Amino acid sequence: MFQDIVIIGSGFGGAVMAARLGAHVKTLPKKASVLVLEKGWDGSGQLDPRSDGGPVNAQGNRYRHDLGPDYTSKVSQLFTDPRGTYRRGVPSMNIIAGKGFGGGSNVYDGVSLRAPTESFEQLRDGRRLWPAFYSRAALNPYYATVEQRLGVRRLAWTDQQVPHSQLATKRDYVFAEGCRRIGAAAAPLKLADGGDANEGWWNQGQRFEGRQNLTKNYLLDAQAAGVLMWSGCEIESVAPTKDGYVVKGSDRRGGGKVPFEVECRVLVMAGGAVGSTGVLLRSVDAFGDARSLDPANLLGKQVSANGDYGVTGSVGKDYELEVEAHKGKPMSSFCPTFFAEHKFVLIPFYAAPLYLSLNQPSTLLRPADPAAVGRASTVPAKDGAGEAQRDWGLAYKQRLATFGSRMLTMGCLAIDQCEGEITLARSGTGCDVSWRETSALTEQRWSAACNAMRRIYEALGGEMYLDDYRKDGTVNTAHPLGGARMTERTEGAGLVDAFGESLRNRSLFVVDASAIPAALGVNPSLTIAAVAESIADRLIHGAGTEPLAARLA
Amino acid sequence: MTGSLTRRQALEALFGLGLLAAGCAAAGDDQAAKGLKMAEQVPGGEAPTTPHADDVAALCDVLLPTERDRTGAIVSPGAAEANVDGVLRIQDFVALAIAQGLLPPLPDSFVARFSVAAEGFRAAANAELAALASRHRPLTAFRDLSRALQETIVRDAFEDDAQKPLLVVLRAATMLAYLGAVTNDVGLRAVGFPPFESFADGLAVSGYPRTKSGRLVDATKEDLAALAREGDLDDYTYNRAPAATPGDPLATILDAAGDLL
Repeated sequence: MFQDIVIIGSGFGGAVMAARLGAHVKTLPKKASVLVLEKGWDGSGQLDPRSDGGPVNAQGNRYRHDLGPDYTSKVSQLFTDPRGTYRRGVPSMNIIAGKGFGGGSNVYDGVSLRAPTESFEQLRDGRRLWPAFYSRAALNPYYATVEQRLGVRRLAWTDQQVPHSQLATKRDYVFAEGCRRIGAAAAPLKLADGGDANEGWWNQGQRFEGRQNLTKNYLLDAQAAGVLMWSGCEIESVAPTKDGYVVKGSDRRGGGKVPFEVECRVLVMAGGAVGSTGVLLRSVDAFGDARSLDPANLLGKQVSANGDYGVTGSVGKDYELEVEAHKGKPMSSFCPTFFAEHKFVLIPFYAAPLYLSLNQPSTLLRPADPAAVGRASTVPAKDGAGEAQRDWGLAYKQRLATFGSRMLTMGCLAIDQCEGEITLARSGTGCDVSWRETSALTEQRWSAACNAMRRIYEALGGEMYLDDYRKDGTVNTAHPLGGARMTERTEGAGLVDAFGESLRNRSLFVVDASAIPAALGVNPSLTIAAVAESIADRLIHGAGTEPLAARLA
Repeated sequence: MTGSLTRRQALEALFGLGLLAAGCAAAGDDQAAKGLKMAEQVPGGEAPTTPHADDVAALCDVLLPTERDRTGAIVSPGAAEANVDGVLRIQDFVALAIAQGLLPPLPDSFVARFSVAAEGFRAAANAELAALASRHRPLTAFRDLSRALQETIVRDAFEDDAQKPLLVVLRAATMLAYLGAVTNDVGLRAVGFPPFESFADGLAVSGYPRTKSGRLVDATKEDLAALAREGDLDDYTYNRAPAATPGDPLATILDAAGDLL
């Protein structure tokens, strides 16, 4: 089978590329075909009639919010460190990624902040990490385009005229009060608005129909432009051909696992930081030395967690039920006060009592020393007799009852130093991720964030409990960046250039989180989409690169 | 903020002491539905023994006990009322829970043994618990042991690498049933959350304004501001600005659109 353009993945990179390139090729004298291949299913019920995601329900999609735990499996995927994930006492990394048409938008919260100027100006070894084209100013027009398409709007603290979904929640009001008491300040967030602030019950999934999702905009645009979309297609590898590339994978629609190959002239990798990196890792040998995918030996290396670091805590009794952990409301405020000095922002979000009860046993890990930093700086909660409290039984249950209605989770997003790594899984399938060591600078920022969050909890009459990182060095992130990073073509310090094009392979592009060369310090979806918009725009117009039409000729 | 107590009281009034009713409704216990006071309950370890259907049910009750008063009526739901059986009926629960991060990675041999159909899982778990119990009291089922001995066995098993995986799985199942709102919300109500607006629709809260009595307000026709003034609007926002931080620390950090500069 042949398609002119194949796009692997349908998240913030792939969906934008599909919509833009699909619309463009319709205008060319010689029509060209575009195919999107997605590993997961079509939750929207509109894009792939052959999707095996179950029947389309009354809400117009296949995965209407479902309280069963299998819902999460349909829209997300967990990648872990095989050496010791989850409290095994070694530094490790967990990545949660979106799955299915829409990619990360299936699990994101709609937070849509432009990356700060400083994010683009980061240096390593005296060299700018981003190619020269990229700056906040250069991306601003593309940010605006994405914001318009996704319906991004800034929430407000107060307004009688707007729908409630456009106001910050009570939880954020409490957070703002805590910030105020330590001399910081909170501001309402910008959210991609699906027209409904309700996310349903977060533990097991989010209300599909109420939230913003790429299947409702960019992917619909792509479909309208005639782009073909296949769900359930897992990509094994890609390889060069005489005139382009061949994509090899298996099609799971119809219940089987049918191998397929698609040849194309233009290949866009957009499977996300782990997805794209994994396919490229499996494909390296097929490209050989002359067309090496990874001439600088950087594939999978220097992966950022985007500084994700979360803690859970309780607020004082005065705020019982005010933090409304149960209501599954999106993140709606953040504290940017510390960014100038410490390069992190804080965001409060719904605590999930289930995950608290399961993933922080003895749930309530306290700082051994409030000033302590780094691993093993926690101690489990003790009972009246000084014994470590059990995480089962009557006492535990009663402890949950006193804690549940006062839970508040906070996370920081920071400019970390990209200490993560993605490798092929030892098990032979998929990828492993790892976090071997935290640099002094990252640790300094996380410690400052930890300290700020502790002060906020205490200012609200509560107490902070610490996460896996403080216990044993486990980094949990929903925002992995890098793996196939961009570089200035003349420097060769990455895999793809400022257009996302492979340094040695014409018309092989990587346009997703894996190409982002550094931590952003804010939620990355808007930036990934803006970078994709800029690449699509320049490719279509041949601005600084060979035009798409010429590549297809 | 000072309204929190009133809010709590209102919720309790609305839902008939929700946490009590939750457990009782699930158990079909009329007496508890009348609203027993927590002070009347007795510690789980001293509660009248309730026969369990099998060892798995008994173990789940140790992990997450149902609390009863002196008459045996439920005052706080546990694993049974949260319908842990429903969670354990989920196909291939062990593999699913690991994939979702509800469980840590477990030994391959354990996963292979327990990654089976729900009935098979239960049978395998019961067999393992029977073996565990027989070490302490031969020919006695785990469910027939005293609560104190059951707790001792569980405590020791959590310390034993060979026995821990099953305990961890069943603990995850009980917590998922209790706090994960898989088949009901009794656990969430027990830890202080209001009931789902519509469990069938998966709505913890609709996102749309309601009165404190739970009536959905038609925002296009009714005066939300008036309802708010009357104190009858149960909103998830305060619709008011927090107090300003002295010195306006955001002025030099954010642009007019709300992005970091």
